[in-house]
Amino acid sequence: MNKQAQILPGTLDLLILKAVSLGPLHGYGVLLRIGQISKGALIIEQGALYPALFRLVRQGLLKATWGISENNHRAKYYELTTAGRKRLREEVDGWNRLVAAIGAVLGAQPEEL
Amino acid sequence: MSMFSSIRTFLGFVFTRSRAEREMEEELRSHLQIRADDLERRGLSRAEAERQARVEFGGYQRYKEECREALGTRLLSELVADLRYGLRQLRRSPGFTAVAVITLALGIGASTAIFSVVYPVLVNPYPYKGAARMVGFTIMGRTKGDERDWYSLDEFRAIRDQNRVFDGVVGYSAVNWVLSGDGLPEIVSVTAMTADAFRYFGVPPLLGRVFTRADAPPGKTAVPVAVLSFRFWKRHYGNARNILGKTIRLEGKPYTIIGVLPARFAWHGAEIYVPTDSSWEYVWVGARRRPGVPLRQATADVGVIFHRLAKLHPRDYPTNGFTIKMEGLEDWSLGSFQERLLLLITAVGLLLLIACCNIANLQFAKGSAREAEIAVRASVGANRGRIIRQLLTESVTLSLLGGALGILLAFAGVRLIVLIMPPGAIPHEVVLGVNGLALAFTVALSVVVGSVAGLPPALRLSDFNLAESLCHGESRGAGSIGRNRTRKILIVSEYAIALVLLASAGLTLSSFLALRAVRLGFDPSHILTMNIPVNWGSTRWEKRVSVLTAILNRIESLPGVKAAALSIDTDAPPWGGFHTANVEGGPSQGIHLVHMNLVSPGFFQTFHIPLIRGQLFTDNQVQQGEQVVVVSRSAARLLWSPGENPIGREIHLPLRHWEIPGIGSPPDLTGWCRVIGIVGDVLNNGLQRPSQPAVYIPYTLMLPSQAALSLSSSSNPMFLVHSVRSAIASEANGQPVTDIWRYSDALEEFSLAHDRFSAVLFLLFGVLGLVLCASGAYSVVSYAVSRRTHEIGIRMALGAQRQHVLWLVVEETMSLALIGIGIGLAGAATVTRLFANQVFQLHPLDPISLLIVSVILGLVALFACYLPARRAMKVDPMVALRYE
Repeated sequence: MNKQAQILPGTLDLLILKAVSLGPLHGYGVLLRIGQISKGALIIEQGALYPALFRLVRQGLLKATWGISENNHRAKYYELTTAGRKRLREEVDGWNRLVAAIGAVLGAQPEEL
Repeated sequence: MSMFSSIRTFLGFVFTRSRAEREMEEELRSHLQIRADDLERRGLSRAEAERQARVEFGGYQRYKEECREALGTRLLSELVADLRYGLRQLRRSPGFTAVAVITLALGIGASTAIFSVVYPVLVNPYPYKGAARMVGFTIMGRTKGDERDWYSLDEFRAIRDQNRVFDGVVGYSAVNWVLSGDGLPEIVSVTAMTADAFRYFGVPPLLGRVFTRADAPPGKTAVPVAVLSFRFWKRHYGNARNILGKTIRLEGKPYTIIGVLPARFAWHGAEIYVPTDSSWEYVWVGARRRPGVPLRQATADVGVIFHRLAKLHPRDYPTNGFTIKMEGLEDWSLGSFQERLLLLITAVGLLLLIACCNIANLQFAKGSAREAEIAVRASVGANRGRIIRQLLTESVTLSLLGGALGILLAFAGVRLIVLIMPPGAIPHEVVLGVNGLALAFTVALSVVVGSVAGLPPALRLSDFNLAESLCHGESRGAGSIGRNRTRKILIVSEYAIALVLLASAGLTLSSFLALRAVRLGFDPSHILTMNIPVNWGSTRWEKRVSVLTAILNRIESLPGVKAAALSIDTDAPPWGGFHTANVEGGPSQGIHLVHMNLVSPGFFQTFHIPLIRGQLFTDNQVQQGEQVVVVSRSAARLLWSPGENPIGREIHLPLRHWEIPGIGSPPDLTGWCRVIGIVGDVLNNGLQRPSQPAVYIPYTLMLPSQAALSLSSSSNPMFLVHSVRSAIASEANGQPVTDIWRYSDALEEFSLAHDRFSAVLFLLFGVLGLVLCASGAYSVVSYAVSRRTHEIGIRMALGAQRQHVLWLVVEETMSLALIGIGIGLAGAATVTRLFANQVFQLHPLDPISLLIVSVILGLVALFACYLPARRAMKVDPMVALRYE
């Protein structure tokens, strides 16, 4: 059985925000952290990350600064802005509501209706 | 200034873009590096690790594109690439580029020139604060001609203080004063305005200050200060800045110059502005409505005030009631010229349309040679929108180049327009020139033209079957214009529009020529006219007559002068003013309106007006102020029945009404004048209208305040100007003269200028339309021929005659031309109806000029397709076949 799952459309931004909220990361670090937390269950095509990062920067949710990576490469580090933090909270709430609602629907028994 | 800043913004944008691009590149590369390092640590070789990292990354270029989109720089980077590509394309075909740029330059340049005139004249003529709400008003009595638009100072104050509709009221008055002091005395037009007038107009001075209430305190004499108009300052002082505080003498009285106004302040066209005080008895009144007050409400309010005044002073107002007529500024000044300008806008729009059709057609032709290139672009992944955008960018680039050249043409065009602008046709406040707004208009127009002309070819070219285009390479035979409906329509409409333009040009030109050839009833050649603005003061009648007689005698004795005369005015050609005439015992009892002219005996001889019956005045009759009258033929017909002999009868003219009190008058002035002669009719009501009944009386009966002198000479009358001026100056104590004109020039300037204006511009547009149409047809046909060289070669190899080949090419184009001309004729029938008010004595559907322009256009079409067709005819079959 394939344990890996394609991420749902629209959830990439949420995952990036969450990953970055735990501490500044460069792009590759974001991928590593998502992989690490989900224990390799979520796959993101590596290149697809960058358009999403740039979009979030442009929306003012992330800010980027150049720094040096652990093995001495110049890399761009992303961290949450205040707006980003707020957005993350909203998105997480929204997601939890959605999951609860879908879970309720899927868990419904005939006699409950 | 604004251009520089926009360039800076653009450059800034480009630099930011390249920095963003660099950073993005670096970031993606660093990702690959870090990933490769990771993989290397897991035991892969460096080369393998790097390869693996790239694979995992996914479509590198595709994500770069997406990143650019996310950064918002993609459109721009594509635009820059398209622009570069477009310019390269244009450089590669210089012939096409030159033709297209010149075509666009003509169309856009003409539009910019007309815009540079139309915008300041029709949209924004006045620099004054709230000009759109400014009004003037007239008291209209019930009888025709019983109207008054000047008011006493009491009336002015009543309006200013009692109205509830205006936020400003100004009184002003125009006079011609003698300016003396430095140099020769001259006459200047002076407008005296109430002291707070400049606050009303809200235009700050260019130099110094304007006068205020402090310069004319109520109830006291105004301080003699003068504010100069820009034009006067420039003409008289050559823009010298050190004139403030200098003194000029107006009517002998010293005035201090306190300021200079900007070029666009030209209220009433005056040269000098001075403050009024209570010594000014009458003023015109201008007022500005409060925002939101409609004209009707303002009229009613002013009406209430005047009716209240009329109860207090009934003698100052029409006895049988009156109404108020109120008009805005633009109604005063533009008149029928507005219609001419609107027609010009239409014409230049049509010209631009021809240019657009041409450009679209050229791009069609060029585009079909690029089908293969476009197919390749499509096959490597460009979608249709992308291709359309690229073709449009090329088209807009082309038209921006055309616009740039067009601006130069517009500068020349505006100079031409200023040169032929009829005097007084546009408000004095308008300063014509190509300004920043016109440049912005050009850029915007270029973008629109480029998009409009580029869209049909772009849509057509991007819509194809990919496989087919790639397989066939360049599709032979695609050059036939017959293949494409759009291109046929374009060519037909070019001919149709060109015909409409030419028909309009023909109409205005023949109207102008007809007007020039009109029978005046007198001979305008070799006549010199001028005004002698004598400052009479309280000079008695007898003295005035002797002064004028002395001047006249002196002029008549000058060598080269054949005849000379004094009259009330010498405007060309309306003479005299309308006055009422009464006949005792005639068949047509009652009051008639006639033109009344005040003349000296030499008048008829000077203008060569023929005597039909009876006799003319004698010197003695004029000097004595005898009540005699010479009537025109049509006046005789109006006042007496055909069988009657008017000679010896009497008519009554309102001479006493115009008497100047306190200077005396001819003995026994009753107003009853005895008819002594009948003369021929002259055109005295404009060249376009039939002559009005006219009567001539000795000028001594109604001494005009401003005498006009006219004289005829045996050669060019301008040679006499100096001797006449010095004769008058020496005879009458340094008396200056004004408005010196050669009569034929004045006639041209004042009566023909409007028609000349239309004729010149329409002719220009007609010719440009013809040239553009011809070049369009020529390029399309020659392109078609070059594309069909192969086919023609085959036809000739199979035995086709040269004439047949010629016919093949000519037939296709000429049939389109003829359809276009037919549609154009129908269009001309509609469009030229707009000229109904503008043309003289011609039916707007003047068949002869329509026929002529159709033939011209047909010949041009024939010529445009004959030249390339001849080339087709000379095709050598062997060469053509090998060409493949």
